[in-house]
Amino acid sequence: MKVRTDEFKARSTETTQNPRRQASLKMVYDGLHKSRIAAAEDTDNWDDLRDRARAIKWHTINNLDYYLDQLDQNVRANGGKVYFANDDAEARDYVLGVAKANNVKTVIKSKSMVSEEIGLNEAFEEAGINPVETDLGEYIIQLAKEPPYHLIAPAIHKTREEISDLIQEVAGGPRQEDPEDLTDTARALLRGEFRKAEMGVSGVNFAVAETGSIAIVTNEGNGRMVTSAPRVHVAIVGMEKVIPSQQDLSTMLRVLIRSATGQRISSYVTVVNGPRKAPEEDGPDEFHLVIVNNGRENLLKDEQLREAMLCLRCGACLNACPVYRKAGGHAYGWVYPGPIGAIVTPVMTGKKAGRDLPFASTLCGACKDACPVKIELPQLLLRLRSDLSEGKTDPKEKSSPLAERASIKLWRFGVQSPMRFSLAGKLSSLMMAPLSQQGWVRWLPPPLSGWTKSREFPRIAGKPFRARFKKKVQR
Amino acid sequence: MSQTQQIPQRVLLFVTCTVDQLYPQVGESVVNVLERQGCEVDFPAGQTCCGQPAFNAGFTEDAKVVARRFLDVFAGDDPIVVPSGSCGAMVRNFYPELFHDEQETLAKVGQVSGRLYEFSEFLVDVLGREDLAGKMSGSATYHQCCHLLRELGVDAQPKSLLGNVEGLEVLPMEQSEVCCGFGGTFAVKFPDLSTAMLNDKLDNAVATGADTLVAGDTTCLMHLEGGVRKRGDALQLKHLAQILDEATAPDGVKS
Amino acid sequence: MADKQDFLKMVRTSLGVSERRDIARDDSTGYFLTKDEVSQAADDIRADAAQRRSELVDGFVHRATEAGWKIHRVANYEDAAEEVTAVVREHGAKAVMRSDHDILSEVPLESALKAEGIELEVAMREPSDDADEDLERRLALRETSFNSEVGITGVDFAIAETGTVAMKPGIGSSRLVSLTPEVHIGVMTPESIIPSLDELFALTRDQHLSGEHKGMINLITGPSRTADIEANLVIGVHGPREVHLVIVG
Repeated sequence: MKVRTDEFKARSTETTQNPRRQASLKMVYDGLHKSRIAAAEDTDNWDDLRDRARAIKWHTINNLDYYLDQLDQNVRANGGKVYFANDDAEARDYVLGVAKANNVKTVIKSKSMVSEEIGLNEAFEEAGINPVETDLGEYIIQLAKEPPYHLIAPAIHKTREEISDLIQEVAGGPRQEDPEDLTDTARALLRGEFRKAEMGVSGVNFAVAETGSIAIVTNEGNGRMVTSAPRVHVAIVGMEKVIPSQQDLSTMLRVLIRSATGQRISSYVTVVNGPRKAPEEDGPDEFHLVIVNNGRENLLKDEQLREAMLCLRCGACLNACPVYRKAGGHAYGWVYPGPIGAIVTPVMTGKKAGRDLPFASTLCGACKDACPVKIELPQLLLRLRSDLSEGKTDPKEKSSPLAERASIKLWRFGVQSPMRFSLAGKLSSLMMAPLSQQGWVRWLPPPLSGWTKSREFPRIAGKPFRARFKKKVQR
Repeated sequence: MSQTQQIPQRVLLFVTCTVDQLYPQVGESVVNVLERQGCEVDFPAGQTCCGQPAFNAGFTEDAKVVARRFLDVFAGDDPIVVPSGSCGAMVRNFYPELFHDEQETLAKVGQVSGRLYEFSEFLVDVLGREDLAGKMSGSATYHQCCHLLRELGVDAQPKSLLGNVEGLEVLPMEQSEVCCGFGGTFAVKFPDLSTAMLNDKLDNAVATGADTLVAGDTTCLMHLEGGVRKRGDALQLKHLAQILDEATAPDGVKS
Repeated sequence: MADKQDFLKMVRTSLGVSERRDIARDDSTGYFLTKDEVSQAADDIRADAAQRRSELVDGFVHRATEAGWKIHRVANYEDAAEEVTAVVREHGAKAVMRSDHDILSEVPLESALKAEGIELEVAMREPSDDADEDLERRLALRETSFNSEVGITGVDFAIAETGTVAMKPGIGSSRLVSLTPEVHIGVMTPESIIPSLDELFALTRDQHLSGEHKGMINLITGPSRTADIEANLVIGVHGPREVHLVIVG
């Protein structure tokens, strides 16, 4: 997917001015966010589960080479094929190759964020193959020709009127607005595709190393369709999604699903173990697992940023984030929005272009509370800020404006001495005097004018606290 | 309910740069409340700032220089009281990160942060006072400042102190735990997002019908009050210390 | 072209590890449990489930109902056939398919449905050694599945924690028979019920290690659903709209 991280400011401003988007984003708090909290409260040992999930993931990431090797061996022992893709082009080319080798005309897809990363749908279309998204939310944004707005609810920003328009365009007939009717129409439309598609492409929630299986979590049933009906199944997975044993699935599923939707479990968890085995009545004859790097090594090779590889892509941090709930998903400029997006996107696609993302946070910490595997998201954001401001790990990454660095130096000079600090305060107070009324200032020059657009600013006190304080003993 | 302490507890006041320069009256309220509870308050005059502005902007080396000085200014044995969740969290939670590879400084950090308390936390957890026998009329609603709530884990204490003010009606607010949109330089770098969050918070506060919005951090209050003044809401903003100061002031004497 | 060794080398370099290694046992994951440990655990699970049968049934029925299953408790297989027929009748369904799960050979479905004028399809093909012919037969079976209105299956495990049934495809048990029809009816006995996901994966692991279970497993909890349109919950998307469980005994 095209990277548009440098447009964050403009696009987030646009979203704050769009009442329809704001109304949809409010539903994120009332719906998904509150559901997760209710599910956590309803679960006896929730914190303990999070710790266990975190431990499983850390162990895996710290031994990722071992587990990827096991995964590969076991998928092949099952009769499946494995392809290790270093970047988006390699992944795309491989999947296209499989489609062409099998004369595929229609591909049905269940949700795969990695397939968005690599621009798979565009590649299919260019090759004259028809990719059909089958997750209702993904189907809607495919019709709208937009990227996903959220990790698990990609069309969360669309109103029912907008969805009605999209479906009517494709289905014809009278305009429907009831969600049930719209869903029925979509079901009927997609049914036809399920029947005829020669290939299914799915994502993966967990790839199990010990068995060479993949687990897919859905509610709609499209995950099952895509992996059962066509003759060929291609599963695309980020290299961090492997877990050691199927016995780890119970813990991982419990924390993932509750954090994503607040459900105890989704309608379907499909554990695919390679292609069909000879006596089985149905199932794909071919199974391919495409394991993708695409910049993840930038996270992996950094001891601190490596923690971001624990992410389950549940969306809980998005739901909890007051900035996401104002800026909306598209502003983040790539596949992954919200707090986790603000970390992985710059690291995977370029810190300089994405430099606004780690700063677009108040560090309120709601994301950390929400994360099922307790990723220290605020800490990672701060780390990226330091990379961008100081070039801490790599001097080439330093890209803070000169004016900002100069003002930090000035500030530092000022606060290293109480006398200078007081003097600076006095001077500022004097300078603000002509601008202020009743102790408040209505206009400040740039760069502080951003503040006074919507707020007054208190005038620095003529007599600061330190001048007023007299020890009781001395009075 | 605990007994009044017999011996005045000596405390060091870490007033914070924002209170010192922008909201000195909050500092005065803190002193008044602590003194009324029997504490002897000292103000180490060498203090300026804990270094958080630089740290949050990603200038960790500059933050370290300022932090090292802070640790020297506050060296000692007496408890340190700070009327701010974000500054308190900077010292307690983030100094250890800053100095994770400097053993000597880390020891100083432990020595200082081990005696550092947020204002309401000090009153309730150290002095054992949840009810200051204060009286005040009117209504208030409480905003849960992010660092106070999530970094320091201080929430029950301020709510308890506020709730025990006789005559003060405390009204619940929708989304009280959601960030007000200040976030330091965020407020200036992303003014539209910051304002959108501000408006949500103020709308929620106004919707409660309370005459005062109370919070534990003057940085949030400055952003909220600045917004109220621009919008024209009929809403007062006060730091918890100011409420407690007014509520416990001897009759006829207002600070 | 991406090479596995190069890829793994990239991972090792990123982790600061110089060469391929075996790793020490770490009990944060179940990975290192030995075959004996897993086998013992499986025995314990079966024994425990037998002891707590009625408690597990109650728990399962509670959660399954919550999840949207319509539960039918019957005393014997004849009554089971009647319940199934009643559901089929209610829906006015004519195209009905069943899997060839062991339990269904006990349930006189053929006769019960024939009495309603319904020819019961079985989710089974005659396998052929000729690959093309076998594919054709599988495609024909797929077509029948898509055209079915009611699918009847057995279940392999039922999980009390979540109200889930787990099903493994095999001979006579297709993937689609529980997916494509609008109505899915599962027939089971209390003996299938285990407490939680932990026990499920312990048992499947035991089967895997003893070479028994190589195929996939489907966990099904209630009807298919979505909330993709303005967060409104809609029941019945690509999978069944209505799901029943007939518990015999």
